[in-house]
Amino acid sequence: MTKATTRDWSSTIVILSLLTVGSVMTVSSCQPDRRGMDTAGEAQKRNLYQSKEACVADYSEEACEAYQSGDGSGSGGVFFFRGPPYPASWRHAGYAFDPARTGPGRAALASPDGVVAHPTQTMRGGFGATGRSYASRGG
Amino acid sequence: MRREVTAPRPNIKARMQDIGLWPRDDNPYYDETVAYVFSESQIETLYEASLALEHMIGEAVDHVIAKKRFDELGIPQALATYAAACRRKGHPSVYGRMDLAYDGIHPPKLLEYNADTPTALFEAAVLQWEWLKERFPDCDQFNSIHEALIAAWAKLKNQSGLSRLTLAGMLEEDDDRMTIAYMEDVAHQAGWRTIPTPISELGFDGRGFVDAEGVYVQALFKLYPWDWMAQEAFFDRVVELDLAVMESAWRVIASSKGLLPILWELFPGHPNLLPAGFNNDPALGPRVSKPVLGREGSDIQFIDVPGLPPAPEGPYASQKRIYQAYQPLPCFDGWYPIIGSWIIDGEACGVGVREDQDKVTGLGAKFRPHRMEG
Repeated sequence: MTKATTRDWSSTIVILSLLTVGSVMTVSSCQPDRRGMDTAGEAQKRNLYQSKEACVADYSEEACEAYQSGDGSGSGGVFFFRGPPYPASWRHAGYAFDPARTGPGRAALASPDGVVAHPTQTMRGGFGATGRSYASRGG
Repeated sequence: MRREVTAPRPNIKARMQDIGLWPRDDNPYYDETVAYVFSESQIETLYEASLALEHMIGEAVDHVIAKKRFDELGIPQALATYAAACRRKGHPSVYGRMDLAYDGIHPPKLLEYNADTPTALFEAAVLQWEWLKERFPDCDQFNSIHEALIAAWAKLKNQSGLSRLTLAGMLEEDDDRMTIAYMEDVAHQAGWRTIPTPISELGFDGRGFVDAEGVYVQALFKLYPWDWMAQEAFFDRVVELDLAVMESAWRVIASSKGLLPILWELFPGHPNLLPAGFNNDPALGPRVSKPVLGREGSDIQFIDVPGLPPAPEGPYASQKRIYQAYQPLPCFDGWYPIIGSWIIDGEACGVGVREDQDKVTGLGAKFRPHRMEG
């Protein structure tokens, strides 16, 4: 019932890193490509995969495109598949609450019903409003 | 059970600064200048009571579903239907925290069950264990929370065949961020690929949910109450997809204070329960009125309890209420402790003690480590 005298201390080391930097190291078969910028100048990332199958495991087939790294000349690079772009902001900058933001996710465009459409046709902001409302009232 | 003043670890401030838990006012919530000491038999009592309560709560949840008593619990119909379906399918639970009144002498009494979005997990699982190992290495502590969480996530991974876990919550809130970071750690150790995401960044692309990276969500750990989710735009999509979510939707039944009167109906006179009802019945004597889906002690009112004046209204004031016999918390040196008993995958795995100088455990409470002797 009570704890044994031995314990896996390695977990404590991991949590230190998680809590200190407020960011996360994910273990993934994919690698982020951080070079992209959207038209508004916000940093964008795309996940790179060594095979189409690996990409389709994460995204729809249509969203996975072949990609060749290198200088753009089409020669000498490495072939990958990559998923659609996504904003890198909250993780790279360290997520911080913006008190001026009362609407849905930052990477989103507001619509009249409060649901939002992401530029890549992903709806975001469908959760979170009630929590913000209660938080603002001290709940 | 006794309260003892102890010398804190000399490095505790640096340790907590390291993990971002030391406040600017030098008045930390986790505070090991005081600790609680329990005898082995008292820990046995807490363990047995927690298991008995977990069993009764499971029966009460099934009763609510069978008798369709969701209105009394304040659960809207769409959520009720989904919660019942999740329970019937046998969706598991990872964790929950029972709040118990216990003085070391009389049977522990259930005050409420945080079965949907419990926090105060990291301090119970890790910080007080570090304290024990450094300050009292020859003593024991009722605490296998950490190992049990890893085992629970490993079991889920094996049973589901899934590999990726998205963890979502209001990451701008310290409590949520810390709990999610810790839950991410134990899930990662259990073999999951983990991705934390602000809950407002969860997306839906017409086929499935996507995380902040646009990657499809396989399984979701959410630190966001089901009754809030049910009011929001994506709830219907969760139901349609039958997304794997932890805690499962049926936990809203266990979490509603409306279950407290039902527990008393089903198990009247049980030593670990307090008399409770849906009506403001003076026969309960001094009593506590609680909103069925309130949180963090907001909008709790005391009735006929000397010395406890009406509290100001908060955001849950308009909710349906239940009435529970008032159980005074024990008083040690002017502080009132409350026991948080952690249930991991259905097993009682440890306790954490919070104490307040107020009779109502609130924002001024301190988390105190504990140890066993004898």
